[in-house]
Amino acid sequence: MENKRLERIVLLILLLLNLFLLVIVLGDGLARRQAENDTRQKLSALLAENGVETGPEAELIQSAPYQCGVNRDFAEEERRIEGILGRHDSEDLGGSIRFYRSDQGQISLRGTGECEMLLIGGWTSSSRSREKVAASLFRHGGIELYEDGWKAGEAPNTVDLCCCWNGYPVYNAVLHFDFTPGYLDLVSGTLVFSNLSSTDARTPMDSVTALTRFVTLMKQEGIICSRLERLTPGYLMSVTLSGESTLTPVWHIETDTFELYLNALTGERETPES
Amino acid sequence: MRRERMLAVMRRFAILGLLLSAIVLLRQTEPFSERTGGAGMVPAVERDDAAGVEASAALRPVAVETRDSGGATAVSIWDGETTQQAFQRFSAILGEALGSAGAPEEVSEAEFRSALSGEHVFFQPGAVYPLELMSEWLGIEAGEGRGHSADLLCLGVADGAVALLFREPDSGFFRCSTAAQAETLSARITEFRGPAAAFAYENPLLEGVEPYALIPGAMPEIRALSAAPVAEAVETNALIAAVGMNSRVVTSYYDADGTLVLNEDEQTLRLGSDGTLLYRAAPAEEDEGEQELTEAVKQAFRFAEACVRRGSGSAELVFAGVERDENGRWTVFFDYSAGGIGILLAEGHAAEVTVDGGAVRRAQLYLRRYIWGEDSVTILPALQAAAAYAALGGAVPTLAYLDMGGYVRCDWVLKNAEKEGAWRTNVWNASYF
Repeated sequence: MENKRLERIVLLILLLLNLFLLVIVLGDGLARRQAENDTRQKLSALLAENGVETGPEAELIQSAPYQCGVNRDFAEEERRIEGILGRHDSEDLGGSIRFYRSDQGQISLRGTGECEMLLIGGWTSSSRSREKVAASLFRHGGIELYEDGWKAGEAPNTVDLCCCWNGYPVYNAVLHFDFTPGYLDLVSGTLVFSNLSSTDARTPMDSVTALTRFVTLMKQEGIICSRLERLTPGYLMSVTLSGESTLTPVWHIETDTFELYLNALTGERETPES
Repeated sequence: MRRERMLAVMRRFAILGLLLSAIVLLRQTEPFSERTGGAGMVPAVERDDAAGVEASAALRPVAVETRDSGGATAVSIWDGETTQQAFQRFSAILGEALGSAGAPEEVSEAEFRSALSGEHVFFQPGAVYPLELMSEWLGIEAGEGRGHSADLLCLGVADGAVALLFREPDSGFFRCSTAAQAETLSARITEFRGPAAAFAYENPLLEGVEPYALIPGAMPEIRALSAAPVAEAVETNALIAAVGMNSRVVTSYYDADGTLVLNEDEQTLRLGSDGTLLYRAAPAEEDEGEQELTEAVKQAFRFAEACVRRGSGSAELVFAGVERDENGRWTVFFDYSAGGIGILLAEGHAAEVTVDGGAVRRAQLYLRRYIWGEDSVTILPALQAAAAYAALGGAVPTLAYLDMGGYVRCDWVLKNAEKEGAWRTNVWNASYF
């Protein structure tokens, strides 16, 4: 009897505790959403004061990823190559340059991240979309691509796409896909190394700070635009030593007249050199 | 009875469920929720800092110079951070070239200069570097350049290929084919920005001057540097730990001249009041075997860097050379450098560390602490200084900070040909350093 009473008391306390916590959590959520809306409105107002309209695709409240170091993992690389070429032979040419070859093609990979793939017989998927063909190839190789950022390449029958790290685009790790009609036969460009080696504890600036910095830059450099189209967090990759690179968080700001990259740690303008 | 048992079970499950739910809700509340970094919050990866700064940090080239396909030149020199960034721009491709280099062929100086007149990137490492050491520090296994050393290197682009050329003191000039990509190197050269520069040999008025001395069109800002009191450079407990002694068992006493002497087993550390550190350990056993160059330099750097780490202020240790004696012992030299400019001490190298049988057996260091000043210093432009050197019959134009014991000044210096390791404290007077 006593136990039963005790259990009922405990149940009641836990029920009240849960209700209390639920109210707090919901309240926090509402407050956060309210604060985000306020911030969003203030940002839009700030941009409007400077003659910049906010496009519907511009998500004003976002956070940037942390800076990290990535390096080359040869074991993982072999697994990826097997996904693309199947059973293959490999050759070390020295200087961290590796050459992989099979009946399905050949791939060279360098310590700078640069790669060249020649696919014999092409690579095709059930769909005619080039993007899907390319994505299918890299899915077999376990390589992440930023599928929202397809661009037509400079040459006809080519498309460009950048690699991804942890869901974020790496803007200067670009792959060029060369298609003969329906077949993908040549891929060249820069891949991101697969192994996370370090993370930086510094907090990158959020989208609010980035846009405020953007407005300052507009005034300082006389940049003219009338519409903010998109604001996307991502990375720029810099290879410091062979097989090692740093992924620096950046904000990619696209307007109706230009686009720029802001370093999310320093606020400085960056150029996505390869 | 059965119904009561069922109710009791349900109550217990309800308690458990509410408990779990409370924990979940508690984690969602503000004080306990994890700081979000978006979907990009990567798991923390801890670096192993026990080894301190990597030995590759001692690789700090003095200058990086480029010439693009149109003949435009750019240089970064005497500006530590900018030069290091410039070097990092090319370090991966230099590593690729070193690692894939074919057998070095001796070439004439004219061929070396021919490469410099075409599209290239040129490096002045600041010391004579064994190529296998440089490769190691660039994260690459040395190619067929192993066994050679260089005090100047060049990656030249010609006919769609990249060649590695280097000067080996007392041996001549060498050229190696490489598998580095010419397009990549050309792109990096094109993107590199800096003041224009010329080599001394390109100016007929600079006869006798080191031909590959770089003469930039504009001098970078040179900051004033000062030396803090020696006591600020010395932290005894940190030094004891740095040399691998145990502070709990070490015995100590003061010599008549005020030198602190610490002993533990066969290790002796002598710390002078002037910042001189002398370390001795038991010699290597005969069966301890010989050590590879790269391992020896790594050990030497870790030892020296651990000793100076907390005390050196704004200066850092840079590799200054390595020798091997007839017994297979490696002696590695390091100097202080600040802002990409070497610091000369009257005593000689900042650190000399001898490694044998896998351990440091002997070391001599001069502990110093340097602090940046607020102002810049005015330095004679490189062209005028080079002309002064030429007037004196030629030399290697060298810009350096001189630690005069109580203060530091920056000036052009001249190697004293009569006394090894000594310098004239500027090219106009005869006072020796």
